[in-house]
Amino acid sequence: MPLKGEFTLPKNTQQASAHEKKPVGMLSTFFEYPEGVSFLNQGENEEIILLLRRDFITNVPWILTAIGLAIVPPITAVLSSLFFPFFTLSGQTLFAILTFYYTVVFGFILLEFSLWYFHVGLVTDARVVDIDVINILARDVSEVYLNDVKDVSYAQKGALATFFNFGGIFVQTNVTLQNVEFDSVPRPTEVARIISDLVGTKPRE
Amino acid sequence: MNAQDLINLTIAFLSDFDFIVKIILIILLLPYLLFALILAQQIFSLGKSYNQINFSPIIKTLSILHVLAVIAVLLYVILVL
Repeated sequence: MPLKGEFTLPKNTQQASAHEKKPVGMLSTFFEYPEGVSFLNQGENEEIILLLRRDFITNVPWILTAIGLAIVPPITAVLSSLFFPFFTLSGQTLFAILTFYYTVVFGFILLEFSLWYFHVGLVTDARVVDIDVINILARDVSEVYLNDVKDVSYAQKGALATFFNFGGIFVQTNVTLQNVEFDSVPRPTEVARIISDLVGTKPRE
Repeated sequence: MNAQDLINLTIAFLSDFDFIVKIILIILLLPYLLFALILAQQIFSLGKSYNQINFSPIIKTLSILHVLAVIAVLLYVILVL
């Protein structure tokens, strides 16, 4: 109960001032209190505490594939002039082939980047949301309210995960509700601790 | 048209690499255009599920540019080649 003449900030303003929000970067994989981020069915006063994506190192295979695909045409041009000198195409046809080829390479990059970019985990002050984009035609959105969380655990498996400090987070509920799993997220110990602090349990390895 | 004419026609067709490539490109471009449209539609749809104000417009624009590039290549192959 405020004293007479005392000015009291609303609860939301108090929370916002306690945690400074910062604009989230394009390639952010671990970001606390992101600014300018929202998701479908977000509550009016629901605050995003943590934004998670798979560690950037998990993108290396498709980035290398894209670089490999990008250098295929010059190599093919050299080889075809050596082994198939009789096979000639007009400049216009070559231009069309190359333009199409690099459009496909661009499409591949756009697809792979989108699969990574939209595959996010969100921890809010009310729930844990996991948006899994499995492929271009399949996505799986699961969420668990913090009240229903029974256990939070994490796992780091393999040399790469240990070296780059990423791993899986498992947010478990009782048997009647679905569980949420974040895979290959950076700093799993810290993520587990943040969720556990919100829930009021101890993280388990 | 006798058998000799048919053989000559086939040889003339097969020796025109540019025409063969044009047909192959059109066959490949049509399903690829469908893929590009689905990709753009999915990016817009996923942008509703998760929206990052400072970057979502860029990825949406890139998906539209991708579709436009495929349409441009298709038109080039059909009209110019």
